[in-house]
Amino acid sequence: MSEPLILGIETSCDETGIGIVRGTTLLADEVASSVDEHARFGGVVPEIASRAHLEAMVPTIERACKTANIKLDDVEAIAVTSGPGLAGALLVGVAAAKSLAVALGKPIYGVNHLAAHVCVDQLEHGPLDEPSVAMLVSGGHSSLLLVPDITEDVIQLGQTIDDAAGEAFDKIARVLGLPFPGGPYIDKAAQTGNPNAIDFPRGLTSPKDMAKHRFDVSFSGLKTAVARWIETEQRSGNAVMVNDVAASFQEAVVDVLLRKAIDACLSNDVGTLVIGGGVAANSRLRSEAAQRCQEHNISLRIPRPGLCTDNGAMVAALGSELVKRGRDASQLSFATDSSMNITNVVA
Amino acid sequence: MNVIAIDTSVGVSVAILRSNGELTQSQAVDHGMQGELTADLISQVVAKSGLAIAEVTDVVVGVGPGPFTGLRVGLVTASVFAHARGVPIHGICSLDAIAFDYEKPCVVVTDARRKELYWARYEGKRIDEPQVSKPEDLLAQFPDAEFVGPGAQLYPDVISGKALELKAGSLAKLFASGTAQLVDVSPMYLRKPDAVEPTNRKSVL
Repeated sequence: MSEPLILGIETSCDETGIGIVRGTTLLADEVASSVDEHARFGGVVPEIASRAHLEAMVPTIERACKTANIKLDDVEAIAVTSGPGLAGALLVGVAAAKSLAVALGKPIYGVNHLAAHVCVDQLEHGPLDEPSVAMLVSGGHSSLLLVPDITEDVIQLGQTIDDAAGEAFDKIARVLGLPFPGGPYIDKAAQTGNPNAIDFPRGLTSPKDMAKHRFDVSFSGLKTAVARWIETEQRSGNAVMVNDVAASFQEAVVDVLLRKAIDACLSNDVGTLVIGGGVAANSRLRSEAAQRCQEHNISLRIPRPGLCTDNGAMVAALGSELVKRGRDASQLSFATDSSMNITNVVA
Repeated sequence: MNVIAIDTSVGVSVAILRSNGELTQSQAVDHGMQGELTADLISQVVAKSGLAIAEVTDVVVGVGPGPFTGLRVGLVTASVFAHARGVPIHGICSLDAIAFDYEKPCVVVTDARRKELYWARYEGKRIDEPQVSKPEDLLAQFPDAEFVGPGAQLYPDVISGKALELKAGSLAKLFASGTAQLVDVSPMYLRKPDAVEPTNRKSVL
C-alpha cells in the first residue's frame, strides 16, 4: 500500500503556503507571500496579511496540485496550522482547510505551527530521532523544545521572554537603514563585517539569569544596546560601520541561541539538534551550529532555507506523521488558537 | 440545479436549495464564531437536505459588506468548496438577501461596528453600491425610508426599523430566480486596513 497523500495549509503570518506530501516525500510546496505589501509598514500588518491569504488561497491550492500532479480528490487528509499565529490570518487557512475536508469528505488535522517547523525536516533528512532537541527561531517565535514524540509529546524547555529572534533582526535592520524583512539583509551585510568589532551583550547568560532562565532567551536588551551604540557613534560624528554592526549583532544572537541549544542537548542527554524557523535560514547560524554540534558530538539537522521559512509542506509533513501513527483527527468545529501551546500538537 | 449558499457577513448562515425547490437552511447568530461554525453548519445542512455533496451544482456566496474577519470565512469557504467540487461560484451582495425577503422599497442596514452601519438602497433592485455611514447621516439622506435588516434596531434613538435576519436561503432563492445582481467573488470590505506607516524612530539615548 502506498503512503498517504496529505495536503497542508499554512497561513499563520504573511505566507500562504500549500504543501503536498506522500509519506515523507515532498510533492509540492507552493508559497504566495504578501511580504512586499508589509515592507513600508516595517512589519507584518495582520489585516493586510489576512486579505492576501484570501486572494491567494485557491490559486495556490491549484498550483500545488499541478506541481504535485495530483487531483484534489486523491488527497487522503487535510492538515492546517491552527496556531500559534495571527488570529485573522490563521482563520483564513483553517476555514479553507475545513471547506476542503467537507467538500472532499476527508479528515482534518488542525496542527501546531511550531511542531510543523520541527517535523518538516523529515522531508529532507528522514525520520526524526526521538527524543530530539528542537530550536525554533523566527519572526514570531524563539523556542527550545524537547521532542520525545512529535505527534503527541513535545515539551517546552525555554522561549524568548521578550522579542523573538527574527523580530530583533527586523528592528536592527531598520535602525541600520536596511530593508524589511531584516534577516537576509543583515546576513548579507554581516558577511563583510567583523563579528568581533563590537562586544554586544549576551542576554540571560549570566549565572544569576541562568538560575531562572537557563533555556530562555531575551533580545530586548541587545536591541537597545545596538541602537544606543549606533546613536552614540552618530552623535560623535563617526560614520557607522553598518557591516561591523550587523556582524557583531548577528554574532550575539547566534552565540546565545547556540549556547542555549547545546546546553539543552547536553543536559538532557540528547544527541540530535533540529533547527527550524525563518532565522534558521541565517548563514552564520547554520555554519556556527555545524561547528559547535561537531565539537559536542551532536548530530545537527537543519532543513534547506526554503523549508525553514513558513510553508505548507511542513504542515503536510506533520499531518502525514499524524496519519501514519494513527492519531485522532480534529473535530470540524475546532477553533484557531493564536497562542496555541506547544503541548498541544493537534487542535 | 442544486445550490449551496453561504453567508458570514452577519453571524453564519448556510442553505441548500434543491432543484425540486426544497430549501434547507440553518443559521447561527454568534458573532466571531464563523471559523468554528461554518464548516460544521455546511455538513449539517447538507445531511439534512438529503443531498450528496457531489450533487451540488452551484455555490452562492454573500460577499458582504460585513466585518472583515468573519466575512472572509464565508468567502474562503465557498471559493475552496467550489474549486474542490469543480462547480461554478457566484457572488451576491449580502444585503440583497434581506431586500429580496422584504420585497418592498427599503434601505437594508447591517452592523458595521464603530458606530456605523453598512447599507444599500433598494427599489425592486439595488440602487448603487453598498456603503458604510453613521446612522445620523443615513437618516438625513433618507428621512422617509423603511430601514430593514439586522442593523435596523441598533440605534433606536436615530433609526427605528424592522429587524430582519440575513438568511443564506434567500441568497439561494434570489440566485435561482435569475434576477440576482451578480458581483465579483471578492469581499466588499468598504474600509481600508487600519495600518499606519511608522514615523521616525525615537532616540534611545
